Amino acid sequence: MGLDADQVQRLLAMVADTRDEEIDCGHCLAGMAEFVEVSLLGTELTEALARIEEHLTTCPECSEEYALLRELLREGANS
Amino acid sequence: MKVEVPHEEGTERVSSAVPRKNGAARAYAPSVKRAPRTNDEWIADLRSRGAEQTAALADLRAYLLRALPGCLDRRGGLPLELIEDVVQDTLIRVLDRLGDFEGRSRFTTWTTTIAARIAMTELRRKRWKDVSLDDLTADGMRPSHSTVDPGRDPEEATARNRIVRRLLELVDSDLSERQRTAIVAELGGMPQEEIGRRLGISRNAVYKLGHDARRKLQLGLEASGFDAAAIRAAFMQER
Repeated sequence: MGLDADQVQRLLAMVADTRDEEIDCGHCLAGMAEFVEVSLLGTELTEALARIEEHLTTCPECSEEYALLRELLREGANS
Repeated sequence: MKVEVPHEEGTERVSSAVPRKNGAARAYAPSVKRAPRTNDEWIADLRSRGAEQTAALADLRAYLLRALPGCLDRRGGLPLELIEDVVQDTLIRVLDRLGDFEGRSRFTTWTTTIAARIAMTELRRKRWKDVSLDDLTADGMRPSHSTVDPGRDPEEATARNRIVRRLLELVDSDLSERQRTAIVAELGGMPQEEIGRRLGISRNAVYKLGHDARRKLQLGLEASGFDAAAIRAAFMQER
């Protein structure tokens, strides 16, 4: 199986969005609890939390986990 | 799971302190009548050895089980036994990492981030268990068909073709075999932790492998006159 047109374009999009310094999934997990609470409150992100937001836009796995986290908090909720 | 923690009378396995899903679990009914714990109370109770720890673990377990089955059902679902394992693993990891909690969020939110990661890991393992890296990477980066819409303006099509050709040259010349494998598998939709499982490296290591590869391609394209703005102009206007 080779790459189709969509995959080539996704690779180019990933390359175009690449930053010299990016946090990895471990760092993202470490800050995710604070990030989700700040996001739900709608308050301003610190620089460290902004990097988590950047990671979430480029990492599909962390993004999936973040979506599940938000649902779990909404439904199970901090009660 | 073998997690050892200090204990007054030696050591004990943390897993033995975690309420089980079967008969023993019924002895640890959640203490639903008490007021919600503060972060400090969670930490103190979980660090204690005795009734406070047992009650705190039972409360955390009940809290996690309140929403996990429904949320996982919407993602393909896990058998109840595996959901119980997810909760069990979460409690073990929470006890193991209490020192990592910095109090920047509610304790239950922190616990839920750990549960979300463990649950998604199980879901991905289930989804990808029968797929090998070879299935996804057999033909490497060779495009399976034209990457350019034949109906596009010829000049735009030429610009896009030049970028794609240079990208694929760089993939061949500048990336290691492992980097190529990781990138192709990721483009095939395989999650990083599943790629890592097959390569024998961690999810973080896969992320770094991919980041180093993307950075090399980015620098190579820039050196050829195709910076991020040029790529976006050629390919992403319609998105």
